Amino acid sequence: MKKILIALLAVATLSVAPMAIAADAPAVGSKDECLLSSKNCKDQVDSIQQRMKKIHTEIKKGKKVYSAEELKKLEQKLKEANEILKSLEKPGR
Amino acid sequence: MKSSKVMAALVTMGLAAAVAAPAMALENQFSGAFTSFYDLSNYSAVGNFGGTSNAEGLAKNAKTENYFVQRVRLGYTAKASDDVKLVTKFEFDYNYWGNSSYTVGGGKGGALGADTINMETKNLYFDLNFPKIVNTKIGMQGYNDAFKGIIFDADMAGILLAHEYDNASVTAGFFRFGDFNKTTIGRNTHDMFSLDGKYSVTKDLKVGAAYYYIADNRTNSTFNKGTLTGYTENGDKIYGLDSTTTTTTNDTKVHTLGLNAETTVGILTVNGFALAQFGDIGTVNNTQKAKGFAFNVGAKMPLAGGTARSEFLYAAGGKNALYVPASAGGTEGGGFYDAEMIILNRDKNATSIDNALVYDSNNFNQGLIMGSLGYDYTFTSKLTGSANAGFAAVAKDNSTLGAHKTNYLGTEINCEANYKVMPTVTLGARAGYVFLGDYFKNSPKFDNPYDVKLLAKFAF
Repeated sequence: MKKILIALLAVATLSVAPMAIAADAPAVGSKDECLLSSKNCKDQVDSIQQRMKKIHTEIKKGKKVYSAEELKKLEQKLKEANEILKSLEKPGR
Repeated sequence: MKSSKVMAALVTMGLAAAVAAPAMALENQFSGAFTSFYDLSNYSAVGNFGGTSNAEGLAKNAKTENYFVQRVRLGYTAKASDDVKLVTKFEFDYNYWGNSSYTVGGGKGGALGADTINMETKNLYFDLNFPKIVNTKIGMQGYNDAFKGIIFDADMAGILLAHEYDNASVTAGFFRFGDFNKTTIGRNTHDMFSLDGKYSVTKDLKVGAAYYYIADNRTNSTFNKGTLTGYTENGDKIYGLDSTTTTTTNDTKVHTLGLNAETTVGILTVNGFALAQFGDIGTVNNTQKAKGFAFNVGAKMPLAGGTARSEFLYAAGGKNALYVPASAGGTEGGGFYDAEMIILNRDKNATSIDNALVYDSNNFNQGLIMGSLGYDYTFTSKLTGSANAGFAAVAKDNSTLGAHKTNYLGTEINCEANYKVMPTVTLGARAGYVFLGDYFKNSPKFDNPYDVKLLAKFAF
């Protein structure tokens, strides 16, 4: 029983490691766009403007793709992003 | 317990944790904004945060000042889910480059060497949807009134509850503006209770009502200097035993009640509000009735490929002047930014150097009558421009501020152009000029003020 468990844990551990390595390194023969021009970095996150553009694009797909509830959720996220931008640019001291 | 059972239990716990982890994972949202501008102006920026009169910053034979200003805001939001998040926002200002270094204080540190503690905490609040239909914000948050911010528009600590219906929304809040009692915390406070509702009657008509109750019960200590008897080794003055300290207690209870609306008729969109205040303002045994009132109408419509805008605001003066809450930093009323003025009202681009002929709607108990016209035009997807003209007068002259020929403060013209280098980066220029009115025409005669800004902005 103990041996089986240890073997299972070992397999689980080993199976995670290659995924992490794969995400960090560019494919053989391709350029590292992250080092070269800060693109496609592993930890890259969207700017608010990119985020708003993406949400807009999804909302435009409408009811063919999203349910009414999901569209409402997307609109809420767009409102949130707008509020963050407004707060950052708010005039005053 | 057998070791195999212990192992099995550990593995089970590990698997459970592994499964649970994604649900507990945080979404980290970083945001920020950088603003810097070069300012060229004869409207003096020295020590200006509204000043002590409308004439603050004006001068005869006014010298031209030029300086660079810088502001960075950083935000971090930790989202455990769509219903649970922590929102933070911090600010780092240099009032102007070269002002000081190796020191402590907001707006300082712009000189050689930097090394200054100048971080300002703007917002720290917990945002929770629980139960699902109620949004609760707890902590230091930005909040403004439903009247274009002319009563209050500031960061404040409190609890705000919000609920949205299909065609309506309601918010209710409690905010603690101040509590300076050093012996019994919570006894002599400056608090606000708010209730704000909005209802969409149709797609083109929205109406709202808001009520704010502000109670100020704080104690104030005033040191009355006696005879000057000497100096400390740091150069501070020492006063004699004939010095006294007077303590008074505020007794202000102001109710603000108002309506707002927005409607679209054809191509014209009109919005506006009307508000009135009642209650008492002052200190114990020395109060006067709060009788402030104000109204506003704003409009905009497409015109010749652009958008034409207009604003009119009347805020009463004298005994009917608006009560606007204040803090250690002065008034916390907003700057009526909708009029898009640079010098008549506070400039939307101003950061820590922030002055105007009319700083808030109380306006040294004189109130305000102002109107503006503006036009926005999009030349290309990257280049936009605006032009504005506005006038302002006090509703009732306050003679304690000096003798004035008339109530007319002046007329402003301004224009701006902005170029979007990319979605996150904007380069811009804005310039304004004010023809001072007869309010300022008694001796000394001030020069007409102007201000030019060249701006660089990055928001992400």
